[in-house]
Amino acid sequence: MKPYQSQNYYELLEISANATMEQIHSAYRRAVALYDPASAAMYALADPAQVQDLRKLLDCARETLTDPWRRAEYNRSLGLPEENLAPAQLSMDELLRAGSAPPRPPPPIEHYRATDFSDGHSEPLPGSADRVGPHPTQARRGLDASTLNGEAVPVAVTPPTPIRARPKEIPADAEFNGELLRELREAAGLTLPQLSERTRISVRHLENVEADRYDALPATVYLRGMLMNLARELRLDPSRVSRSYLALVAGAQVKEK
Amino acid sequence: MWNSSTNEAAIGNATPAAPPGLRRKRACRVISVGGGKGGIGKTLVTANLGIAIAQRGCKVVLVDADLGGANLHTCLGIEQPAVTLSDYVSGRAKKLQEVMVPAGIDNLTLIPGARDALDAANPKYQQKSKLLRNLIALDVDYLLLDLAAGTSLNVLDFFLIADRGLVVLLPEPTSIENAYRFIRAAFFRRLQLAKDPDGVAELVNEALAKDEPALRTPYEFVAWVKAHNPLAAERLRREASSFRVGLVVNQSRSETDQDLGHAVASAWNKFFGLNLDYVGAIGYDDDAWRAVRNRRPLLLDRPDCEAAAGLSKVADNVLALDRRLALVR
Repeated sequence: MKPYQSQNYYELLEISANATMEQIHSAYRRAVALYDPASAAMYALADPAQVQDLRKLLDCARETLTDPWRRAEYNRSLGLPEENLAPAQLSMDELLRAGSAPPRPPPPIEHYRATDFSDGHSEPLPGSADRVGPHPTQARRGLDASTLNGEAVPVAVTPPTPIRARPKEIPADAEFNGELLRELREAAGLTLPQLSERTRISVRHLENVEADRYDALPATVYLRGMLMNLARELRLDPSRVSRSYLALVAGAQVKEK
Repeated sequence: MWNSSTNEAAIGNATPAAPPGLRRKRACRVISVGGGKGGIGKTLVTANLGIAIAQRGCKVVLVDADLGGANLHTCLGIEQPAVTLSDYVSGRAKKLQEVMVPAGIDNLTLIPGARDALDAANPKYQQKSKLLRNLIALDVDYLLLDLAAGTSLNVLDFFLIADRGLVVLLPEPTSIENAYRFIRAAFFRRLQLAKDPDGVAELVNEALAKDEPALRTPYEFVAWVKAHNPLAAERLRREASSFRVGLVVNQSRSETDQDLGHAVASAWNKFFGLNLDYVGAIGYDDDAWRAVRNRRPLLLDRPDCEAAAGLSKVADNVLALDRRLALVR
């Protein structure tokens, strides 16, 4: 079981790890059309906040994978074998199109990846190969019986490398409680309504998060989505923020009992 | 149309203890055709899929499991049969073989659905278990079940005894909505029926009773169970991952409609964490309703039309998937 929250960028876009730039772009266009709230397949399927969340992830995926340096960094973080790493495998043409003028140091990646709803850690990844969606060119080549056997090139994925702490002012062991999140929001120069508009999370929920009013917050699965959303908007590491905050929520619940 | 609360009452509390069809000795491959909504072509797909598979040399039995609104015989161009499944369910016919009628095509036999008798649409639980048990024990290559509309427990249980469930889908919001509901209901029913050393059934019932939005998808549900019982969650996860459903898009009018199958499979995977197999689209075709009107199966009446080609492709794909299934076992 691997829903979008635990899929890596390649899985999100349903492409193989050695997809060309062209394939990435076309997969992205296809995904954006499919996960449009107005698309037929989306009718009655998921709630709007989740769809929004997925669309943001797709944007992150495209941004990362179409930048050769960021893609190389991302591949490394997934533990892909060295020969799979961009940009060595990219043609000069693609490098030019990607607009990157090597060499320059790889920028730090906004790292978002595999998180399991249930425990905040990534899914057990060995054996994930069969869950990688079909390569779009295979999936869309029509439905000949032969193509049904076509599996995507499995993305060998290892547990994520520890995520680098981004801003210097946040210590590595910082607890992302409501207060810190509020400070970070204010530091980013965002008001609650502004953040609400960007994240599509209601002001009320945001207030409750910042005030650590755990009782008033929605169920964990939703809260996690909200926190990740919020963290991305504040340019923090989403899984770290959600794990930290949810630990506080869980701790408070234990105390109550 | 039958009423689901009646069914639940008839099935009573016995359900979790006796999973119909799970871990059985199989005598044949079973494919069920459902989809939630009425009028989407389940019967037409079943009939023609049966013919296509029979034409490929396999021994096929078609079962009209739409006990309340049976008309598979009409799709096949067979007169109203004298004996039906209803006779077997009520005990008037002792053996399934007594209610099997030749479908007029080599390798193809029909078990027609119930008619008239008011209670036939709502078999008691024991009757249903016996029926399911004996159906899957038939000595044939393929058993195809044509299901009723809706998500009542009877429909779901027929759907779930199959090795492969096919869901028919029209490129319309109403049908898509019902298909999602149907697959979701089937999933939860399957978990309810899973062998239960860890008290999973109770957790399922508890979750269903809560009806919280956070427990709507199988994935969220498994995450929720994990908090209560990690062992059970792992088993549920395996159970969920082995739940394979194929999609058939019927009456597709454009390339976008054909792509709907990929789109639905993709979206389902993203939000529910489960895989669906898209097995093909059947084009919208005037010849299809002409064939129904003539009470002749499409594949025999107009084998060259577009819809017939789509149906043949679906049959090939289903057989291909099935071969893969056989390899896995």
